Amino acid sequence: MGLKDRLGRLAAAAPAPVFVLAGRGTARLAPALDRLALDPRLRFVDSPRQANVLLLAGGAASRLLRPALRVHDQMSRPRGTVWWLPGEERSPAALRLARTLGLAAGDLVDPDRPDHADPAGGAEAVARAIVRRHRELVTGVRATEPAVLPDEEPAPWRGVGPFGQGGEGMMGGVPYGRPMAMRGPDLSDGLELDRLPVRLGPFYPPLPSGLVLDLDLQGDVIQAVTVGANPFDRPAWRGDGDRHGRDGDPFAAALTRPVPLAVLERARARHHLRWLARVLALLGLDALGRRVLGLSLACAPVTARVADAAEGNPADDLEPPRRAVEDLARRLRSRISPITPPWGLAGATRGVGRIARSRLAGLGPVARAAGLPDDARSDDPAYRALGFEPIVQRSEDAEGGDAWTRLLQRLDEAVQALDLALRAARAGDPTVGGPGVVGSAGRAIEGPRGRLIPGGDPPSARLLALVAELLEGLEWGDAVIALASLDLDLEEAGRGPLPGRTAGEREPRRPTRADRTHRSHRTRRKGEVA
Amino acid sequence: MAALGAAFALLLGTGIAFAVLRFVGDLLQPPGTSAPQRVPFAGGRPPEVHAWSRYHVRYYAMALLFLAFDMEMVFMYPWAVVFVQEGMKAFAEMLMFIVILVLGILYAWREGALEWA
Repeated sequence: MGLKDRLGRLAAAAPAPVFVLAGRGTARLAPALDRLALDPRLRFVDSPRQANVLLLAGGAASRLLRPALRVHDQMSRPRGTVWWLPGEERSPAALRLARTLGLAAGDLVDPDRPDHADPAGGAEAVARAIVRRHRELVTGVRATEPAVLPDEEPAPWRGVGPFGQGGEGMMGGVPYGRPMAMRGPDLSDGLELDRLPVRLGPFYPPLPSGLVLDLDLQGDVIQAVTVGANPFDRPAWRGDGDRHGRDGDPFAAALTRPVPLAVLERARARHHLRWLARVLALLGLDALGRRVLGLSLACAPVTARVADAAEGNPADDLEPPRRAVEDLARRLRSRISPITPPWGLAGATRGVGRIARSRLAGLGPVARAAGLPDDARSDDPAYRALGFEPIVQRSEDAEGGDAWTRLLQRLDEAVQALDLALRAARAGDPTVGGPGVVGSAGRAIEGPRGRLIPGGDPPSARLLALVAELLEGLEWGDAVIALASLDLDLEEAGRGPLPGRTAGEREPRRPTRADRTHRSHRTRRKGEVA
Repeated sequence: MAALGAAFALLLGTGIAFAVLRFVGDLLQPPGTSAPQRVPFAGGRPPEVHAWSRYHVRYYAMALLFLAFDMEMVFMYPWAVVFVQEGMKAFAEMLMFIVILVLGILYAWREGALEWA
């Protein structure tokens, strides 16, 4: 056996490095994706250059196609693709893309096919497909996938002078086919140096999946922000709002039919812990993040078991994660904890991403982290019967709220949600929501990102409108944390108005002027923001 | 003469090491990269501007302060030589000098001159 074969077998035994591209409909795949992230056979990496296998999860939104192909071509060789494609997303365009990439039948995993289904929500089939692809690649059984996009520079080299700088000092010229950054005013100290336009997304891992940002950077301070068109946007008049409840989101479902309270609260706890896991990983606390992700899976709603109360107390399994989350919240708060020195987690998040309180109405944990007792659950008789009180962060820091108070808020709410789920199991499993007629005061559902009002904009759409103003003038590291602290879901934002109509409304809402303008607007300069 | 020979050998050795490393580096280099692979990964869109730009190092005020205090140490070398002879008088003089500088730093700190974002 040659040296090359032996090295290939060693490489094949290592965890397969995977880069994940999230397409349309990933909310449904989320639990299984989390299992994959924790799978010891795989290693999720932050850049396509480190990956051997590209995992396409979900359907191919048309605006994501070209970026996805570019990421594919940016992977170093050997590279391969596995596509986790739900049956409903199997469009002609998707199949064309699969042919372009040269995918074999074994590289397409369908969570709806019976032979691909498993208790882990399809995670096992995907993990096996990825590991097989990885082994085939590194042992040379299957050739690397060829590049899809043409191998050419964006423009020919036209530079003049020894460094192609154009011969006019540092300015002008097009080294390697690209123009150079030009000087521009600066927000903080007025020193005019180069303003570097940076185009990020839609697959940039530190940003919420699908977010497209055009930034102007001077040093690492963001001078101007343009939020690009949402790749998941669908025209509101197509009545796509009905999709809101279909991908297993119990909160949107509760707008149209009653849902057990315990299911909602388990989903809320899971949502917040999943968010926390991501933020911890962004802050460099990967191991802690993985533990929290494991806890989030332990909170997942087990719909069948909750409905079947005859089995005994269906919430028995919640006690261990509840204790663990509570313990984590206590440790994060204590000043002498080894995982949060003042210069660590708290230092990186305190004072980052403040938003004026007046903009936060109805934005759930973000509003409550700023001290607003804004919670639709306070008006719900089912919650009141369980003794629900909204949690609000009360410290001097809470003026406007920052990433740190949002982190504590979500952690506290996760504990509270698990408590409520436990109490609901003892109180005869009440239900929440339903197709009741909604008055002007509104019978709303409190989702994990904020108030869900029937026929209204989803909270993510309202959060997305805050992004451009929030980021301007921040350092890059703070901007990433501030963005993560909002908990954006571009897909939810792109689906348009929520289901369930108000009494006076018959037709789905037509898109208003505001819908069209908030998508790609350029904000005012710092200091001019209302 | 021996020193010159040693220097020469060192130069020659460095040159040979450099050539060998270049050769090995070329051997290990992955087979040709494509145009999409040559640009930085930023989420799937190509950069529109070359990254060759003047980067605004916002900690320059801190850097200048560091230089100033670094140079102050140079003044302390001759002082240290005569410190034992001069005794308390030298100590008081150096103390005054440093206190004046530290007051300057505290003032700049209070005015926010050390924040760079």
